[in-house]
Order: sequence, then C-alpha cells, then structure tokens
Amino acid sequence: MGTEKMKLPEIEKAMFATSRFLHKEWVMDPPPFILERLPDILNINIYKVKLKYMAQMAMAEANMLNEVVEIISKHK
Amino acid sequence: MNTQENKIPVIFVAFLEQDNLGVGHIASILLSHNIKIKIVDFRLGEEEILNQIVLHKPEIIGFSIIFQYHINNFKTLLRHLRGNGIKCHFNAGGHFPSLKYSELLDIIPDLDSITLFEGEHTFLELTQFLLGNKNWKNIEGLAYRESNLVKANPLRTLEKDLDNFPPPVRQPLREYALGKKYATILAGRGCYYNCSFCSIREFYSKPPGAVKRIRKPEMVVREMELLYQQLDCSVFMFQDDDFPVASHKGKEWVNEFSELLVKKDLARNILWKINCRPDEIDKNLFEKMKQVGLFLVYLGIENGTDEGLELMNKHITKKTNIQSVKILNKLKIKYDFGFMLFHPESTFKSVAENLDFLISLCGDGSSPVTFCKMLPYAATKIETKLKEEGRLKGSTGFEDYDFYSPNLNRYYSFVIECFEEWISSHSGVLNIARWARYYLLVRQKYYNHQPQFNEIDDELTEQISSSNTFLINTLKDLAGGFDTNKKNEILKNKLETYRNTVKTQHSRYKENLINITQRINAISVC
Repeated sequence: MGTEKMKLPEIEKAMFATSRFLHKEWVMDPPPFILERLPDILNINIYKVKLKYMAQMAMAEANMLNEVVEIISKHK
Repeated sequence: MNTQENKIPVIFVAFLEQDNLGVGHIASILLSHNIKIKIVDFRLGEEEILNQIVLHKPEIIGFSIIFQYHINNFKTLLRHLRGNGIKCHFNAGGHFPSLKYSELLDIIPDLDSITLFEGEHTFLELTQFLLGNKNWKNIEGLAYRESNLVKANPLRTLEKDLDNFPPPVRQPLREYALGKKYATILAGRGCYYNCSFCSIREFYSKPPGAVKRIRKPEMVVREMELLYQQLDCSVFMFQDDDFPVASHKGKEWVNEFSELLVKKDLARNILWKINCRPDEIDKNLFEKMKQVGLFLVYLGIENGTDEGLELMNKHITKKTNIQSVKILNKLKIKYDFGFMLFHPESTFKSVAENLDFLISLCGDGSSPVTFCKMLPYAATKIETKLKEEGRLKGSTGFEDYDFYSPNLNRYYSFVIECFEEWISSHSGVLNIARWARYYLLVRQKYYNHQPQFNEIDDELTEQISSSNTFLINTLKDLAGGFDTNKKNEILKNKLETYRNTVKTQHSRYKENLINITQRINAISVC
C-alpha cells in the first residue's frame, strides 16, 4: 500500500462500548508492574468488586445522558 | 428494536485503558473486508458485556488477553456468558494465549479456539469461515480442543510487510495533557534482542518470519499526518518494544523518518515518545530527533550491576546505562525507565549496589525512581530456568519465586507493603511525578514561554530528587536492618515507624507534586 492509499478507519458511534468514567485515571505508560500478587481468589474478588462499581458508573452515565437529551429535546 | 440493524458479527472484549493496538489492527482488517465489529471494554463488567452480546448477537467474540494476570477474570467472564446462553464462537489472543495455549484451554474450557501469535490473517479467516458456515478447524495459526485433545495447527507465517495492514481502529482520541490529544502507534513489531525476562522475542520467533519487522518511514509519518489532520492528534506514543533507532540499516530509518516529519510540517506541531535500549542513545541522532518533536524516552535500564545485566541477557553494561542518561540529560530530553531491583539471583549486596546505582542515575531528580521484581512471564528464559531449578511457585499464569535468602524475602515483602502505592498506584508519587513532567513539557511546547516555566521546572526537579532520595535511602536503611549479616536487627516497632514515615512522606510528596501540576495548568495561555 502506498501513502496515498492509506486511510484511517471510519469510526462509527457503535464501534466502542466503554465509559468516560473508566478513563478518569491518569494514563500511565507503560502500565505499572504488579509488585506483589495476592492469592488468586482475592484478586478475583477484588476485581469483581471493581468491575461491579465501574459497571454501575457506566449505567449511571448512560441514564444521565438520556435525561439530559430529554431536557434538550423538550425545549426544542 | 430492529434486530438486523443491531446485528454485529464480531465483538472484541479488550482491556482499553490504553489503546489496544493488537485488537485495533485486527478490527481494522475486518472492517476493510466489510465485516462490522464492536470493541467492548473488558472493565465494563460481566453484565454489561453480556448485554452487548445479547444486543448484537455476534457470530464470534475475540477476547484480548494482554495481561496474563487477567486469565482468571476472563475465565469467570466466559463462564458467565456461557451460563447465560451465549453459544457463539469464543476465540482468545495475546502473548500468554499464544505461548501457553494448551494451559489456557485447560484453564478456560469455554474457549473454542486460540489465535496463535499475530492475529490479523488468522482471525479474519476464522471470521470468514464462521460467517460462511465452513469448517474452521484447519485454519493456519489456530489452536483448539477436540475430544479432550489440544490441537495446534501449523503456525501462519508472519506478514512480511506490515504496511499491508491498514491503520488500526482507535477509540476516539483522549486528552494527554492540557487539551492535547494523543494516540498510540507502532513503527514496527518485534525485537532483535533476547532479554531473559521478556516474552517478545519468543512471541515473534516462534512463527515463521522475521523476528523484527519495521514499517517504511513514509508510511509511519503518513499515519501520523492523518491522525494530526483528521483527529487533531498532537502527541504520539510509540508502543514499539524497541523503536527502530538502530536497525540493520543503521540510523538510516530514523534519519528518513525525521526528515519526513519536517517535510510534512509535522515536526513543529507534534510531540512523540519512544521506548528504546540505553545503548541506542546517540547524541547526534537524538539531538536531531528532539528537533523534530521527540520529547520523552522510556529506557530499558533494568539493572545497575554488570552481573544483573548479564543475568538478564541485556548485552549492556552499567556504564552504558549511566552514559545513556547523561546524554539525554545534556540534550534535555526527559526519560522514564524500567528497573528490576529484585531478580532471582538477588542478594543484599546486589540490592545495595543497585540502590547506589539508582542514586547516581536519578538522585538529581532527572526522572522519578521506580523499581520492581523480575517476574517469570510465560515462555521467558527466566521462567524456564526457575522451573528447571524447582524454584517456580504459584498457579499457571501467576508464577513467582522466592529469593535464596529468607531475610531477603522478608525485606521484599516489607518494601512492597511500604511502597506499593508509591510505585504502582495511579495516585502514587511515581505516576503523579511523571505526569507533572509531561504537563510541563506539553505546556512548554505549545504555549508561549512564561517566566514561571523555569522556576516550576526547577521546583519539580527538586521535588523528584527529594522523593527519589527518600525512597532509595529508606530502602537502604531497611536492607541494612533485614540483612542479619550486619547485626543490626530492626525491632517490630521500628518497622511500624518506617511504615508511618513512608506513608507521611508519600502524602507530602504527592501534595507538593499535585500543587506543582495545578500551577502548570494555571499558567495563563498567551
């Protein structure tokens, strides 16, 4: 492929399912090494708790956006 | 709800804190073949991921397992999906899946197949076969289980010309600092070197093909140009394990790359960061790179003793490590680095020598200090060595080892307890200090010089120097106490004092660094 044929992929809205809340943490590049491993079962349980609350934040964000859109559309 | 409109044949589940270029490249090649895709962030949780799959009814889900410590989380996720009636094809890819496919198929029996190594052609063919209801089991580059036997098909030859792949799908670009957006990007794949702790060489040497492939400089610059023009990207983070500073063609690649950045009028508008080896730092070359936007280098320093560097098969000396940083400091190019203070052959003597090295490296505040323990990642030489010695412990994917000295093990555990937040938390001193520097660099590049810049830079350097010195001296004191040869045992209440002191100092340095960052943000733009 030559440079003239290169195109960036077209990003449609539905391409990603993510949440801005998950990106509030500063990005660290490269990711930090894990200095200590907890027992597997603790790692799993901790991660489940984190994911549970992150998912709740994602849903709250979605609800917030819906209500905002509704307010705007009623005004119009 | 129009189910046909919602239908997306391929979903990827991937860790998206940073860009996931592996998935991005595979997604892009599918799009170029008119196959719709969606990338779902792994961190959304089981329920939301399930919702996405129920909504879009994919034929295949690709799970990107980029960190081997996630394998149990993926296991739980896949079980949850199957338990809720998801029957489509489950495929996994990544370093650990490729290097330990048999073990992964055991750990995650809900997987249908694994894409081995480079995924673009294999995953595309798998998708096309599934969409066409064809038998996929003979596809090159796949591993799967059949009748309790693990089968691995012949490996697919690596793509010879990486520029045959379209640019990767990326999330909407996010802010790096002060309104400037960033993107991750690759100039090539693979590494010529064979460090004992690293699985990259294994990953790229198992399939047929070159262990390192580099894109044409004009294609890399073109991608940067498109990102700049179309997506307002100002900061480019090269994710190459070893940026092609020194290839078989010498410095030709970098020279051409740099000239093109000028020719395309990008050099004055962008910043870019690379990862490279210390022995690749050349004063003249890096001076030129700085003039065209290089602002940050991540150095694989790794150790501060010649013995440690030999264990790591780095083919670098301690002297070279120091020299590389001197050159970057002289050129005023910022650097971050990786450092394995602890490794399988560590002793108190080697720890002390490494701590002295760290003082000479970054005691001046040129970079926030960091350290870690060498971990036996899958299929690395160090993993093999520890296994042969009978020192490997822990379950698959979570392997670890003890040091020879029980006191060193105790020392290490205590050090981790004290400094884990400092080193590995996003809100720790290390991350905050690094980001304070990045903010200042972005401010200095894109906004008119303000008199406060130099003052803040000096203050920031002083804070980093002070925090580095505190950390290193604390580690030294603790080492002296835990090393019974020195007859200087630390009593339990002294350990408590250390804990509290580290906690207090960590908070103090954090506050100072955050204040500095806020002052950088507050400098008015002219």
